[in-house]
Amino acid sequence: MLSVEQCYAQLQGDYADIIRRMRTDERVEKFLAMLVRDNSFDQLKTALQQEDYETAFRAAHTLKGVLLNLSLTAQAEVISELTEVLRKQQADEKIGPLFEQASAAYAELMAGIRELLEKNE
Amino acid sequence: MKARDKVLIVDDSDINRSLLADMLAQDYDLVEAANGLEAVALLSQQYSEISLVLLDIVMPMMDGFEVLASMNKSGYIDHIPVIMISAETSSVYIDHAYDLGAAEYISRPFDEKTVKRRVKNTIMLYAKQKYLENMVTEQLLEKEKNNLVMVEILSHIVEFRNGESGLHVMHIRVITEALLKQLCRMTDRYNLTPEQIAMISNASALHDIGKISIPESILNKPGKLTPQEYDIIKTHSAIGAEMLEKIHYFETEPLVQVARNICRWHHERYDGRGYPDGLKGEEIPISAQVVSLADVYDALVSVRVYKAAYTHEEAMRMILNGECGTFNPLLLECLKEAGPTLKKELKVRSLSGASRIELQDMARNLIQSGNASNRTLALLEQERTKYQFFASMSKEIQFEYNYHSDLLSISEWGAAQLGVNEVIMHPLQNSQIQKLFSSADFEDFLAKIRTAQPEDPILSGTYPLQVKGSSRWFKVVARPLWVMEESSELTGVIGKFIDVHDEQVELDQLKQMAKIDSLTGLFNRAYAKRAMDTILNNEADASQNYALLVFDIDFFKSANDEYGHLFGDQVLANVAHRIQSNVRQSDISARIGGDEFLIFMEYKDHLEQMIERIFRSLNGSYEGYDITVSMGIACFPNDGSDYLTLFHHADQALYAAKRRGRRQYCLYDDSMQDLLTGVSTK
Repeated sequence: MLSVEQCYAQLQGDYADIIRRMRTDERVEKFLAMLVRDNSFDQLKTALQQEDYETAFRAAHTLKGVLLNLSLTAQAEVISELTEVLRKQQADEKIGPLFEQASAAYAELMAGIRELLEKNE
Repeated sequence: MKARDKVLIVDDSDINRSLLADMLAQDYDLVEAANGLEAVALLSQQYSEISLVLLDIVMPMMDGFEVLASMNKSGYIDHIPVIMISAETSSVYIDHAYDLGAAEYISRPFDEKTVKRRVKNTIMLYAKQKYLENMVTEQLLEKEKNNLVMVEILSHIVEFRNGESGLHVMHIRVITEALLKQLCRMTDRYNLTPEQIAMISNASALHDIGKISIPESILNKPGKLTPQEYDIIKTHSAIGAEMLEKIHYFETEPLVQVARNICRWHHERYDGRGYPDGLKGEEIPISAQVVSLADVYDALVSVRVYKAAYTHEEAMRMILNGECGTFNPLLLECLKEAGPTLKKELKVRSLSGASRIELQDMARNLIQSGNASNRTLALLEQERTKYQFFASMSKEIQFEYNYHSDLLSISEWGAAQLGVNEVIMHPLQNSQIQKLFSSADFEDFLAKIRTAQPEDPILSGTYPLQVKGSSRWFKVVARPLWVMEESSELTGVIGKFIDVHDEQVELDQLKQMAKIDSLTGLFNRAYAKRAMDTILNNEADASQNYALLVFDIDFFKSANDEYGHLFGDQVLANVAHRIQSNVRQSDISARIGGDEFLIFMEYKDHLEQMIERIFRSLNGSYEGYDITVSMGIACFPNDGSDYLTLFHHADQALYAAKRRGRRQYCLYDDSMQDLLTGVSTK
């Protein structure tokens, strides 16, 4: 049995902050489950493939907001950096590496959350 | 029970909306929008219900700033507070949001306490502001009432200082009013209108306003006044008048002018022995005369620091005996007449706290009238709910267009029917709308809207719309909306589309039926003539060739006689079928009488060959009955250039064919000119 607190520790999230704001582990879990279903990251990925930087910026921005709301600080930071580069809404050499980094962080995040949800099922 | 406030949450992320909804659902009704466009639509539908908007900035379709801009344009921003919620921390964004009228800014990550507190505070702030706004507006409208309140307050201040019972002012008003009404009944010398009576009665409350400048020690001295003190007291009438003359409204407000006269002259006496001016008889304005009598009467029947109260009867006696100075004899008559009423009225009005209750009444009235605009809103809301209910029940395609926001909204069911969005920004440039209408139809529709007038606002038209890939007929009924129904300013258009496709198709069928011979499905004679006229008059030129074939079934009568009419009909249908399988779509084929038919067709060359082929195909057998025909042919342009000539010549050729032994065709030539005709030419 993996606790939400342990999960946050693994993911370098701010558990103290999220529990202060959401009060119960159940609620945090509920929103983590929603995050798994969220398609902002896919949108970001597709938009970047299509070089649609406007949509990419929006998707990254939304994702950043969601991560901040869930106190997933480490991932929020990575996405935030990408968001800032995308703000100009045009191609930039930094986008590639930053997206790589974000992908890795996001994959790790998804794996972490899935682990939490599955074990607690 | 107080209705719960409704909060609109606008955020493109499902998660973020849920987070906020979780925090607020306990205390508020919630509506959600996933982008700015939806938000604007919801606002325009429910603006009077929504108490607050939580707005994200970065969203697809329409972002938060654009929503704010739209709310500025529509004026909603003044009544519905907006709290921005964003992960943006740059001050440029925040400033921009505030510039556009946002009430608050919350940055992510937000916590429950902050969100709840800010939502609550903001709603309260705006509610209070709205309440005050209502108060002010409605109060302005109630100027008359306000005047009264001000008069009341002022005179109560004076009374308070005088140490009087607090009822004097009200008594004076009641007595003044009663005396004036009585005076009207007894003479028309003073030309008093009901309005003047009301004004004098109201102004009477200010008669002692000058006493505010008299030292309290003199004013409330229990014992007898010295002559010097009495002189000081006597200045109050002139001072009161002066005070009112200096008021800004003196020039424009008749009420103030009347009050000024009363102030200055309510201690004058009819015999000229009063103060301050020693006016005599009718030199004293009637308003001051009446108030002066009322003042004396009330002073007598009330307790004063220097005296006890007299009874009504004692007071009446003292006044009529001239113990309180000389009054207009006519007014004394009035007092006598009004006496019993006064006694009763004053008793009723003297119940303790009556004036306070009256003031409370007035205050309550004011507050109620302050609420009137809310009540109006509530009624309006009720109407809207009703409308929406019926709209959803009626399965109609209803729409509403707002010029201001350039926003078209279509009822939920209607949008689904048409396969378009419920809310469409800039509909004139919208591809969904452009696909729906042909451009000519759309122009026609817009022109009807533009030319509609308030006297006759309803417009309608029937257009084929491209709905989900197929064309269907719709009737549109609509009306423009104007500001105050004056044609100067157009604010919107409302209307509905009705699917009349089935009716239209039926109508087309009826039209079709009018040209079709029901037995054979071929055209009837009248239509065939019209169709040929059209071709011959408009389309055909001398380089084209047409042939008119007129024929009947040989010995058809025998088919009817021997096999019955039903069989005869079947034979006719069979011939029709043979015709239809051997002519082109563009050819005209018709049954023109009992067993008579015609075919009108274009040909290039090889006329004989074509005729031969058709002639053969018509001959054959049906259910053992041998069908043969006789046929006459006339050609355009050689044998004639109009229907009548061609028909007549084809008919003569038919007659020739019959004369030659039937079962054959015959082309017209000039030798047949004198022949009789084969079929009737009616």
